[in-house]
Amino acid sequence: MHRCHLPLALLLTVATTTALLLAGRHQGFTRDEGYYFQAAEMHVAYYEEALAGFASGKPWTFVDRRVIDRWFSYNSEHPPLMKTLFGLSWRLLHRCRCPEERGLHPIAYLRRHRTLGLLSQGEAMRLPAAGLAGILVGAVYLLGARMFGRGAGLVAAALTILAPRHFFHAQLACFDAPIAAMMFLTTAAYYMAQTTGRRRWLVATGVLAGLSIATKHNAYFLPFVLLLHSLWARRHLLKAKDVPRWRAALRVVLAPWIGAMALLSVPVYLLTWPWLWHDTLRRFAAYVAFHLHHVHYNIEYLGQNYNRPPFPWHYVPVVTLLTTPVTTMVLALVGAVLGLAGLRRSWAQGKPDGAPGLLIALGVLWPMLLIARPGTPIFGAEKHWLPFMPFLALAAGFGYTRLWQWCSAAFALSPRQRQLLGGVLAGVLIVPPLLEVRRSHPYGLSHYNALAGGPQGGADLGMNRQFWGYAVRGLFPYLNRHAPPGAGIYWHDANLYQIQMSMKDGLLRRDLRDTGLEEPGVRASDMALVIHEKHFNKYEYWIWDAYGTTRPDEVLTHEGVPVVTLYSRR
Amino acid sequence: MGSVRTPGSHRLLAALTLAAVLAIAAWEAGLALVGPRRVAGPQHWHAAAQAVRASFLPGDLIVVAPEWASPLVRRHLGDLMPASMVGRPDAARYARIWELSLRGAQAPETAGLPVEGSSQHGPIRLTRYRNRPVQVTFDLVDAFVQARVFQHPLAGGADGEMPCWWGGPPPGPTRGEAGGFYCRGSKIERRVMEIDYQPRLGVVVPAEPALRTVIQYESIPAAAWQGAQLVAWFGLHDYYARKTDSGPVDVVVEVGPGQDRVSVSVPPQGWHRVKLRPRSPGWVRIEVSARDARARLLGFAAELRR
Repeated sequence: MHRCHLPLALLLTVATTTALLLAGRHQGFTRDEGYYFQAAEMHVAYYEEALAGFASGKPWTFVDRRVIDRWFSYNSEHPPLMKTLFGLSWRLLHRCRCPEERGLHPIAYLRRHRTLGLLSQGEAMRLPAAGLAGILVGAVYLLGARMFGRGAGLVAAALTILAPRHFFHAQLACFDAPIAAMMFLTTAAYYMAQTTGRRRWLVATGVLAGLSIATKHNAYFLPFVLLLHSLWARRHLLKAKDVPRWRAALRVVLAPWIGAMALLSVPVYLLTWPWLWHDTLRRFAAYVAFHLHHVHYNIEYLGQNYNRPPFPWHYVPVVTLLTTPVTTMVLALVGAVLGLAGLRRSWAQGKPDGAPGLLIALGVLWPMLLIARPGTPIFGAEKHWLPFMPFLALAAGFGYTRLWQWCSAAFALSPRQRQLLGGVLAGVLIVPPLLEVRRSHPYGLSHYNALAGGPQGGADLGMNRQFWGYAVRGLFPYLNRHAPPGAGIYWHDANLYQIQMSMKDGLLRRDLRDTGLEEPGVRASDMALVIHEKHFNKYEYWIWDAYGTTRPDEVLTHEGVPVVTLYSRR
Repeated sequence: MGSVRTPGSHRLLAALTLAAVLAIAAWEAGLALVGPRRVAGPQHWHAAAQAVRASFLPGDLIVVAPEWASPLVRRHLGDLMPASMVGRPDAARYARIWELSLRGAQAPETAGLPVEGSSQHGPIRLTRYRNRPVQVTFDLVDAFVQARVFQHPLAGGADGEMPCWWGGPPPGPTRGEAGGFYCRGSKIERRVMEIDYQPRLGVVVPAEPALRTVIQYESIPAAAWQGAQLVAWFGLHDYYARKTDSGPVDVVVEVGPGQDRVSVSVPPQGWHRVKLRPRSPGWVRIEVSARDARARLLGFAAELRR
């Protein structure tokens, strides 16, 4: 490995993490973050109680079922790794005023925590996700550089995070960007294990696989995808001379990474999740059942609201086409075409090369194909196939580098001219996705790309405007200025915990009351919000009925498209 | 790649590919820079609203195209757009229609109507259309509190009539629960319904198991019947209820005594219209039932018009 690779990867990691943290200061908290903030503090409380047990001569506190159940039963439908990391980051870094924040935490804190006091509570919770996205960008650079050269790695690393939807999710204390990162890291470790045969990469593959399934359940499918790739990449072993055919076939199938994954992933997974240490089978079955029988949420697609299967098969490709930066997709297409053109030669040579192209193709396709099944539960949009993004970026990086090489050769450029063309081309191709990210922030879920015609084009097409209620943040300044003291607010789809975090971070006045859910909440309120999604229209009509007007006080927009509308009782 | 090509064609192909990629990147970057500046701002909405206010007359309708811009228009003109206008069953009663449109969109209500005038306010096009309005002689939604509401068992014909009584405040804004007719297991009320994701001001009648709910209008003035036809619209209220996989709601609309009668099976989607032509003054009766009454909230609007 070139000696500049690691420092450059580190630089990319730090720059990405910092950019995400800074951008996150303007990013509203989401519904799901609200639940994870609660769980994160509880996970930390478990580790504090376990450590206190060690210190006070009760070393088995950490396996005490009552202790585990007290802190891990909440939100046990999701694995713990990220929530635990959110909690640890919060515990170490937040600026604490916890005793004055009674009612805003899941636990009553009598004393201030001793912390480093570097970040607000929300920022501290979000840091691990931002950090993982940073590590992902660094890892994409390293793998891209190893596969196709430094230029490809750099372009791929940039395009990985310069995608409005990925950038949005990477800011959040949720699991969608982290699982994209974890699955890429596992795949990268697998690739290194396959191509180098080194034991440390085998160990990394097993450990990362365990951490991936401790992040989100998407990772359960990864070994099957890697197996497909492994069979192809190891096919040359079938040609081994002096080895019986059955034995050669076994060597193709039973790759070392499989053993590493089988031996290490499950212990790592169990280690992260004390909830499974008691009543293991029943609790694991309940976790699996939750996801197998997940309720179908509502999602608008091409003007129609879907909340029951079958889902149109074309949902996944069309949403991808309308949300990913066009330049990234075009470069990936160039990469795919030029890669396929070179494939014939590679096959003819028959040399083992680790099949990077196939790995990238699988990495792009399988997350999409899984969700594209018409019966797959509907509970979100592109975040469920977000793991495709770093692989698409790698394909784009490959496309960039092959285009550069091709043009350099076709025009017989001098080495200096080649360098210049490479640098200029990379810079030019990164600008449009960068502008798209800047344009989308902080309403990334309302953003659609140039193919859609931007956010207004997305609205014209009847594409989902948003979910998770995060956009209410944009109305906080108005509410802080105009809401009467102690006003009752109907927060619609924004949940109590995300509002509480906004209050803890000083973004929203503490005296504003939550009037509760559904129509009684609307009727009891002084001010009411409606977050625009097609199926939420009825909530706006409830407000008209209760307030006797259709005239809102304020309409929050993203490039002219209404995102949240606020009414006052007059 | 391209080993069989001549160096010239090879070079041309490389140049064209590079140019295409750069052109796409430039197009995307250009739109990212220009797009946000093409948006209608508050000053544009304000100017368009002022133009409407200057000539707005009672009986005019304001429509928005595309529909997603409606909150922005109501932000400036909401006082001229009550729920009865925004939740109208159709646009037939309005003499003039003001359309505020973006991006060349047109509202379905204005299709084919003659244009009286138009103006441009930044990206907003304001157009006024002339409509030949119908005259509404009796609005059954407005007169809902005057109706007689009762239920009887589906199996028992007209026997065993169970009256539903009004409770709570009259229709209108209220901080607490709204008023309505309380039946055995349901409440029938006037409200802005969500039918097919559209606002519709009307009456919501929850279907009840094994019961037929009847809303009967018996005190319609004789003058309202003269030359009028009864137009009624039906749909299922509330997306969450529609998600439940129970069947359609059966509705019978009858003009009596003994004049005209129509049966409608209302599916989960759509806003369905029926017309009846009364021969003489009488009463209007709407009967609602469902074989599977789970989460079936029938919504209707109706009027006598000529």
